Amino acid sequence: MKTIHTFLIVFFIGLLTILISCEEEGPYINFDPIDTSLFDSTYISSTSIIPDEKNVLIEDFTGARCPNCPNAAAKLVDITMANPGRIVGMAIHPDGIPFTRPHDLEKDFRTDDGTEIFKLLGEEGALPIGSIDRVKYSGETNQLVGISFWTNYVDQRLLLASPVNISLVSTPHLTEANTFVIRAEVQFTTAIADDKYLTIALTESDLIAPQTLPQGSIPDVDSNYINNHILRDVLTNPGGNLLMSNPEMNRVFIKEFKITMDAKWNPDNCAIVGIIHNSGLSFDVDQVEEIHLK
Amino acid sequence: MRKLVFGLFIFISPLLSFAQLSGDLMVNSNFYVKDTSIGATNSQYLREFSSSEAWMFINYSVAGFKFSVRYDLFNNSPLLDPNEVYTDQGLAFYSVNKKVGKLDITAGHFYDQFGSGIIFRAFEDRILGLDYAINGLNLKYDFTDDFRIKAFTGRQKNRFTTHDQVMKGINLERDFYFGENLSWYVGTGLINRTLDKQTMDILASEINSYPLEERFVPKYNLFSATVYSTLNYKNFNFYVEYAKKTAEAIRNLEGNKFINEDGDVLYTSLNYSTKGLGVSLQHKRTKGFTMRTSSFSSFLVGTINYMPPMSKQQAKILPARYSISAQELGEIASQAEITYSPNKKNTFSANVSYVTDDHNKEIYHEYYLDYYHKFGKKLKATFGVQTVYYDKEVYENENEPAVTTFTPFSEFVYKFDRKKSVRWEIQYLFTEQDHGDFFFGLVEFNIAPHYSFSIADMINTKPLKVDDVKHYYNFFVAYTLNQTRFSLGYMKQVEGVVCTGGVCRVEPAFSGLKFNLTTSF
Repeated sequence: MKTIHTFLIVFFIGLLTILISCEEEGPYINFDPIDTSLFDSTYISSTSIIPDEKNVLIEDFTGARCPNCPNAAAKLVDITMANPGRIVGMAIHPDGIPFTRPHDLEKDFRTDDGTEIFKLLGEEGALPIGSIDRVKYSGETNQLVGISFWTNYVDQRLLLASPVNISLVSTPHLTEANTFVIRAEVQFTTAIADDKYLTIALTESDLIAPQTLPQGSIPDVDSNYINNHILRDVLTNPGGNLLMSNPEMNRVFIKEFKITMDAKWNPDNCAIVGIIHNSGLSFDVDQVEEIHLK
Repeated sequence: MRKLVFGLFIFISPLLSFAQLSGDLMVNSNFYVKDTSIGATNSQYLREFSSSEAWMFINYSVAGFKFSVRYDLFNNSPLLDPNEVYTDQGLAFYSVNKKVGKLDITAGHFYDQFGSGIIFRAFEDRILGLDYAINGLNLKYDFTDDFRIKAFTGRQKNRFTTHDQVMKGINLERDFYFGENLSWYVGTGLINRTLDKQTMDILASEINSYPLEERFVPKYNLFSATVYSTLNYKNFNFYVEYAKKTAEAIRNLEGNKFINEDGDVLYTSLNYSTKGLGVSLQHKRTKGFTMRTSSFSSFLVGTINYMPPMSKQQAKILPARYSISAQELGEIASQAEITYSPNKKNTFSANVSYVTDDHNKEIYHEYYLDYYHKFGKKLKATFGVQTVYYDKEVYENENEPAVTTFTPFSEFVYKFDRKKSVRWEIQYLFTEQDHGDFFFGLVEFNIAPHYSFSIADMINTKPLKVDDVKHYYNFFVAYTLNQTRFSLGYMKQVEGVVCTGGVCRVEPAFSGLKFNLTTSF
């Protein structure tokens, strides 16, 4: 019996130590210092504006070693061509998946921000997979759906009205080299009883990097594959910055963000994406806009 | 087919002869009569006009198995949330229990606790509409009569579903005996609660909206551990428990922001009991010891643990008016209670409670004294006085001044014969704050074992919140037949804090008819 007692006490202390000392992976919390030189204002406008057409965000979670991912990229092109000016795409390479490991480490498109967005939207399912306006559709387990559903869900979302307009302006910083100031002007055209978030992201296109091709392709890796809409950075929190709870009709936010370009990024091929969305219980996108960085 | 049914009957019938079926039923029904003068104007007074709650427990034991199910019903009920009209019904509790040698297995819902409940207590309180049952697996193993271990995993019941957060725990207890006069019981326990991803996403979104210096990375996992010990020596009993929990996101004192804070509790009591004399001393220091299923749970929702109250549990209505609950974010509380009976005819009781917040600011005190005297075989009387200081802002989150009361009270019981008796109470609460002074008078006539009648009136004699003197009268009748008891009361109740066992909530005023039925079988 003494042996059992000793065993149990050692087991209990061991369990306690293991459990408490385990380092858990927490959620993304932004500890970047806030740049107070940037403009940040909110007010209620006395002027109502005409709501813009609802645009749709397609986030394509993809990877360099994912053989079927070029099909998703092609699908994104098809949908964009079919709905000119209404589709904003982002190709996101999340970390922690063998398919997203680059063939050439110099051309690594994985980002912490992209990984965090992948986690927020469910982190489940085989690549290629994507979200359409970050909506969890009826019958789906999370916001991530296979490419065969994309067209149908995009068509559903395009029929909706947007309760908010986004206007983006990008200008070179006056004093800092390779730096741009992004000014986002958001105006709610109807009142909304919910928390609303703003995400600003930087994407880059025309990036040539080796890509595994669908099974049966010869060669199986295309060394000159062109990647478009690659997520490079998120200027806000990856899950968005809270604008406010229950914004009123004609509530306006004007916010500036600053981004210094990495040496590997080509500003001529970069775009800025602005998204107004929910966060927490749902991540539904109300509106998305895109402009060229330059 | 008939052969199969008959065969099954032949097989099962010996088991059925050893089977036991038992259960109980409780029904509450309220019929609402609007009274705007006392604030009895909830939705039930304006639209539904009546509400019901019912619980029916069935226990079935056969072949060493114990099956339990409970049917719950809420129709237009304000019980779970006084500001809500809640309607639902169904099986709210089900479990199977089986003892295999020294291993006790429960699958389904169960109630349990570790030590005094400071890190874990799953319990039910129907008066407050609380049901903290765990739906999961609970295992207990007795190595010997004095060495036990138990472990569980599951999720806390949330009405007819469960909360999303997973809990697990382990508890070890060992008893030591050193001769006839000295015994020592020790125990230790660990609880782990894991937030679900959806809750964490919402939490992270909120924290990301804070000023930079107030942001922190919240933890999915909360760990809480306790060590407790009871030492018995002759007439003395000494209990001490220390519990510590890891940092997690909890609401600050103002309730408007999350902070990342750990917590601990030290609780100790010393009791002495001999013929005619009982002494009890208690002390508790609490810091940041909120334990909920989720960081977003508030008030009485999702409470995992139980904090022993540090005030006298009052049975009389006016002395109980300013009862307190433990302040889990921080308090230092002490209590001393003495009961002295020099002979069978006389008993003196005294109680002192003193509570400060964690910055040593007084938030509550109670001085209580009563004297019980038996005048003969027919007449018994109790006389007492209580004075209370009660920080209303702390305990009720109301921006109102602290309440100071002085409450003399008396109770008489006169037995006409073996069956008939009359009991009457007179109480008066003096206060310059809150609702002002109250008088309470009650006359109760009992004809054992079947009937009980009472008339009571609680009068707001010097009202500070309403214009006129208000009467909160109560006409009550109860009928008991064997295990079944019916009661019916027409009453008006003032709004205020209702506490049972140190767990409290603010309840709105009531005006109308209350029906209650309890039975067991």
